[in-house]
Amino acid sequence: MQEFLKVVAQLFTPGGELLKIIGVTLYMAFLSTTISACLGLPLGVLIGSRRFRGKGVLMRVLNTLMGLPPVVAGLLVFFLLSRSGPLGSLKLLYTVSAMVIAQVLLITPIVAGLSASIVSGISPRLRETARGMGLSRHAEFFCLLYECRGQFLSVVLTAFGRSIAEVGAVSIVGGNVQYKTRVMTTAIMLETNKGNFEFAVSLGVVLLLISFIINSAALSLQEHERKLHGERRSA
Amino acid sequence: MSNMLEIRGLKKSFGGIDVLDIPELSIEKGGRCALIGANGSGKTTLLRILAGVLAPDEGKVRIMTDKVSYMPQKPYFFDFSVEKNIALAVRDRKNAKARANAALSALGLESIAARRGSSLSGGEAQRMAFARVLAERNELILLDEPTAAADLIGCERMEKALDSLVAESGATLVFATHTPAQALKLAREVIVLDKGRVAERGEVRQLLYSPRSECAKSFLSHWRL
Ligand SMILES: Nc1ncnc2c1ncn2[C@@H]1O[C@H](COP(=O)(O)OP(=O)(O)OP(=O)(O)O)[C@@H](O)[C@H]1O
Ligand SMILES: [Mg+2]
Repeated sequence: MQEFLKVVAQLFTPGGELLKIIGVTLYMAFLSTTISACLGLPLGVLIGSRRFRGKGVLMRVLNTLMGLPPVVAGLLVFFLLSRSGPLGSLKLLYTVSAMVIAQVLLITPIVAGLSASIVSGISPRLRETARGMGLSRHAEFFCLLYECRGQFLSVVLTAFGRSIAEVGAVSIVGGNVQYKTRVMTTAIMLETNKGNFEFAVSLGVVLLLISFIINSAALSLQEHERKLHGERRSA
Repeated sequence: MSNMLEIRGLKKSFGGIDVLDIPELSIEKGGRCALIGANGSGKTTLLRILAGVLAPDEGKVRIMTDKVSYMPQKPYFFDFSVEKNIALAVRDRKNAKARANAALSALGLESIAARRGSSLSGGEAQRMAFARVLAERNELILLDEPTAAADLIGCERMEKALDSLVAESGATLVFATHTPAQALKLAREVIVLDKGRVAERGEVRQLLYSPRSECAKSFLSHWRL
């Protein structure tokens, strides 16, 4: 309990280490989720809504990448960015950018794979009805995106959850540098290794709280949208 | 009388199994044609090909108009109001809302106009999908078992509305059905499909009451006319 109070106290200490850690965590998670969504959603929609040769293979590759072990992704980015690696001149190793790159590598397949399976689930029926109604391809496409919006939000939240909870890849390429690349998960690892279990658990609780707040915010936004266009039940 | 649609050498198979094989078929402008046949005989597949939703493996399909309405067996509903769901099918954007509402009241569905498309019951949903057809008044109307989920009153209203729509606009009507009464009420002609082939085609009463082909005979022996 004492340790937990210490953590809470740190939460309200401006310029404190914990706030810095939370800041880096959120920055990394938001940035990598945004980039992954920008890459993964269009890719998923494209794959899900079209029929082409090799679609099955592509889906299988995506599904495999969805299960890519974070340490493997971390290692890959590590080699790419290490001084002798192909991108070594960028000097990105042990920076937040390196962590974001690893995260994007991990999350984009998840976003693309999930959204592709969502879209291919409703696309055939929607297409049949839309063509039957004489909708243009454009209108059909926008209707498809509109119909998927709620599920897309869940996909993005899933991606965000993955990135905020990720530890293996970010510790390899980020290095857990104090005040620089230390995030909640790597801090928890460090405290656990030092034997400060209570402090580690308290950090875990804070991490969960952050996740909860962000999920609630996104979902209530969706709720609000539903009400806005909502059902005006007639008497 | 000129034709509304012409089919030549049409073939379609799924996974190596032939589902449709129609060497020649045409339906004239203003025709009213019921498609009947057992489950899996290819009615839906034929309508989907006519609607341009599905491409044939072989053969040519010519449709003489681009004003086609097609109501699938399992219609889809967009997650906005029923009124908007219907209005979306109307090309004349200015009057879309008014025409959607007119179609709804013709079917006695005014009370669900503001509901969300995704909240409808099966029968309500089917009637709403039919309201789309009614609101747009196209030249070729393709319906796949349009009243299968509707209750008796709903069914009667739909048949009445469809009958007057076709009578007024002179549209060509092709619909799949499993109800003899509906074929008699709405069609002038019947096409019997059997395993993807046209087993028999003829004037509705003549065909239903005295079929010539063996296949139509055995299929119709289960229909209580
Ligand atoms: N997309 C598809 N993939 C594989 N097989 C299909 C597909 N669509 C239809 N079939 C098969 O084609 C055959 C004809 O199907 P269709 O839906 O045209 O029958 P139907 O006459 O409409 O039957 P029902 O009276 O049950 O609606 C069936 O054996 C069906 O299983
Ligand atoms: Mg069918």
